[in-house]
Amino acid sequence: MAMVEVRNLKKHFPVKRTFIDAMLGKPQLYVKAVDGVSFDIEEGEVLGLVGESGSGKTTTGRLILRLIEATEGSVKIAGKDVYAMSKEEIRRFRKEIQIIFQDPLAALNPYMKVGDAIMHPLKIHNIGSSDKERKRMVYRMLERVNLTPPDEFYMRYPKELSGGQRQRVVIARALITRPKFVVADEAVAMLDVSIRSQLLKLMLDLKNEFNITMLFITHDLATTKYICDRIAVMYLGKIVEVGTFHHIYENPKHPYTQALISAVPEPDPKKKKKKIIPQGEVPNPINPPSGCRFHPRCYKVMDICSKKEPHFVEVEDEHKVSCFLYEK
Amino acid sequence: MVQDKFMSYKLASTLKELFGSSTGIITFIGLIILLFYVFLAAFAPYLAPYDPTKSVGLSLSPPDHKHPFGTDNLGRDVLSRVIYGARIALVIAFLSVAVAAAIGVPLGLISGYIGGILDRILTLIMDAIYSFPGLILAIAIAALLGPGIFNIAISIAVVYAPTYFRVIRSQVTSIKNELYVEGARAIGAKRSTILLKYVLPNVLPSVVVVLSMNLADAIMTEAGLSFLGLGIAPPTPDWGFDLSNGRRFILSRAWWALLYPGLAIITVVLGFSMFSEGLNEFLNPTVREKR
Repeated sequence: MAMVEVRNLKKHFPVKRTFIDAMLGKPQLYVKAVDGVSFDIEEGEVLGLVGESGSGKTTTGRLILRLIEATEGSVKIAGKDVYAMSKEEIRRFRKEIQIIFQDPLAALNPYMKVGDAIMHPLKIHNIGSSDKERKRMVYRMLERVNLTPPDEFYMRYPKELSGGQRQRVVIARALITRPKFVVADEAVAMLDVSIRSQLLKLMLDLKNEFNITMLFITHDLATTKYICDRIAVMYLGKIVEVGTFHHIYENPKHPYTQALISAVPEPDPKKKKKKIIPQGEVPNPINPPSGCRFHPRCYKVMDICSKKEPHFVEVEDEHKVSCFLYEK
Repeated sequence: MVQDKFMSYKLASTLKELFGSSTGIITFIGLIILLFYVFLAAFAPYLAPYDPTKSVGLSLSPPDHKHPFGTDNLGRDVLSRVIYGARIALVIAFLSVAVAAAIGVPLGLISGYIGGILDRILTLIMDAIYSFPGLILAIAIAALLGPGIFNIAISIAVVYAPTYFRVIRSQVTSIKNELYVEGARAIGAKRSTILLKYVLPNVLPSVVVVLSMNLADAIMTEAGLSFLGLGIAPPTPDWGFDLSNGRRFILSRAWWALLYPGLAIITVVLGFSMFSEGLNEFLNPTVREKR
């Protein structure tokens, strides 16, 4: 059984109508941010969720942790149905499921000391018998994420730290309760490239040490190289291709994935790559294109693409793509 | 802006224009004035030359070496009454502000964070109170409750509670969308914990500013109530009461019975306004360096 099972997850945000529009009987519109997403993450695995801005990847991450309520679908983590729980049950269950946010400064309370921020999850979930013991645990965690000396960092406020240090604090806070599943939402996107690789390495080490299952959300395919076992590519609220890291990188099937891969910078200047640039802009998710959502921008568009929705086809073992090019 | 309702705020911004941008000096002067009155109030029994409630001289004798501020119509020493009056003024000001904050802050927190129907109802009630002219409302409540320090404090508190409510509520509605509040939810914090540990510390600076501005206005409102005879029962020394009492003898050229309580009210309100203006500068999120 997979650690995380996501089935047909949907989130439709209602678009605000004016009172007059409602009186005139204009229909309520919805932004289909996430529109039927399904995937599994095995225990100890890191699944990369890749897509451009507005593809619904962050919303998917929040839905899985039930930080926002889903319109439809189900999520099972460690065999427990997240959406069948009561508010109190999910609150207790948050010990096992955590999130690392993109912007560490915004994610930390400016009036709370770093140490107290990391200790708070322990207090909430009654881990450790005394404040003294909890403090020891926080010290150990601070040391583990390389914020040394820990007693000095314990007393600091978030604004007194650098961006990389803050993100280490956020990671420490997320992992102190030893969660089974962590969503890393663009966890390194705000950092300098040099610090980014350090933090990716730290996250990978901690993941192996604590045996964490992870959903790694990013818009940057290059960062998935370091940490992800499998990758799911998302476009306009739907997953278009899932495969192992090698499948996606070396043998991308979906035209959108091909475009994404071709946009990753190639370190070797002698290797000339042909760049595939999708035509036009990302369509409006209020009124997505018919059939395959990518068809208006696709360079291999066929007649059928605008008429029917494609299904997932397993092109090779563990590599699935949702495109008519591969449907028989 | 909510702040526009405060007399003290208008006063302070006029002062600021006069002095230019030197808020440091204004704050300092304000603080000195405040400390002076707190000192007066605290050590009134040692500082006042006479018992403020007893007749110690001739009726309405002009200022001389025995009575530096003169005596009132009952022969009581005006200086002693002004010194003792600081006690009532400050006690009522602090008490009413504390009560107003104790009502307004929790309601604002809950209303802003939970929202929905509860928020609508509370906002409606608070706006209704807010739209009343302050002194009129205070008069109505004071008349209902009767005289007494605590009753006066409550009637002033009711007038100013909506200000706290509005400031807090508007801040909370924006703070609850901050990422650190979602972060607190993500680690499994209860609603009450989120409100107390994550939301409240972030709205506290604005509470302090409103509090300091409010003190000046509370003193003025209290003086107004006493002036109208709705304040503390005589013979307790009270600036507002002495002002209205002195007014009756202005035609007998007894200017001293009117002038000194009036000056006391003016200076203490000025002191609070100057101090709060400076505090505002230090603590206001828009002025303050972004954290």
